[in-house]
Amino acid sequence: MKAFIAISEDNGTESKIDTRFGRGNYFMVYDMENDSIINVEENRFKNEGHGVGIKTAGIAVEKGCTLVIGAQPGPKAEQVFKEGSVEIFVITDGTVNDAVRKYKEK
Amino acid sequence: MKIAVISGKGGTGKTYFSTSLAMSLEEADFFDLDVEEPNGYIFIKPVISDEVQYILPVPEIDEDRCTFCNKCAESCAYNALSILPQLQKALFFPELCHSCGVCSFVCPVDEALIEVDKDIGVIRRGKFSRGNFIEGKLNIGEPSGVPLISGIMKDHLNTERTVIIDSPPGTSCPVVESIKKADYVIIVTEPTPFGLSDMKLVIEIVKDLGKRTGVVINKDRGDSKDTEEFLRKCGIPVIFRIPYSLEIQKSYSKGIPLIDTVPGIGKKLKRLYEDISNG
Repeated sequence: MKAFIAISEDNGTESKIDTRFGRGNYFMVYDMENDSIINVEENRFKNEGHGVGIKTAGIAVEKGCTLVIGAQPGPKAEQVFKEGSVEIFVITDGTVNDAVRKYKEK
Repeated sequence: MKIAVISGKGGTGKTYFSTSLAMSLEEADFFDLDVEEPNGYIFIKPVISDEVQYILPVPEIDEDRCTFCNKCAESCAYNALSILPQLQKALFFPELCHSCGVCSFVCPVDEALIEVDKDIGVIRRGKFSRGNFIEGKLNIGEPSGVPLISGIMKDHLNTERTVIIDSPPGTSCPVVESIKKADYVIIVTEPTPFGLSDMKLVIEIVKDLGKRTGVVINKDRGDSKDTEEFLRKCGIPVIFRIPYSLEIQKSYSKGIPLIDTVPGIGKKLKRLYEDISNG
């Protein structure tokens, strides 16, 4: 399973979870089975005026992620995730490592 | 002469002032562009003659024809479309759409993306004792009054006539839209910290748009020093005052206009209009 995680810095699995979903600084795609980072990219939509969550959610679905870990996505992004049957796991602080561990413990 | 009445802060008396200003003139049209909650009719008491829905075009995607090429979503400046090729899904978010039409323009597939009508509100037209009355009323839940306001100004403004515009509160796009075509902007304020703070914000808008402006102090108890001092520094005149009085409040709460409450105020309002017109 691939997880989509919005992070505030690019610092591997020690990266901090961004407090915002659509406007997070970076996006990480994380392999939950092998506990490894698939890729990290900068959020190029970050400063757009409207509908950033929709764009970000579209990218997550496009990348084949079926899980989103991090800040609560907005209602429009949630709608995109609903269409894509993507699970949302909300966590608002800590690092990628913390968040993944909490998800697995749940 | 087109005069728009704005305030920044809500509840300072835009409608109360603008309706009586219109009624003090021999001939004037009254435009209620406070489309989220138009209430000028309470004082103006117009006879409404027609009511038409205001329609905007929005996209509708036929997922059977759509090739999910994503051109529409890429072109949309407001991110109102989300195309999900893997899922063969096209999502549309009407609250973000500005009805610009670019999606239907760029769509390469026949009939995959068509424009359909979306009803965003209603325009009511009628007459009152001094001229034409017109108001826009936005449907509940609509995110922006701007299209309705610009539609009214484009289709119904008679440039030959005197028009008094009751604008929306605040300092955002609907306010800007409602004062764009005005020759003069009246700011109605109240002598409270909130009134002053929001007045400062609208003054910036009016300055940016290069409009002539003057301020009406409502609920004036002779304690408006902060407001007056600020205005003096800006070089903006105080053009009218409405006193703070229980009498006025009682009358207001019954829907009686200012002009029928304070004896002689109609003449003062008319003179104010003449002063503004003469520059």
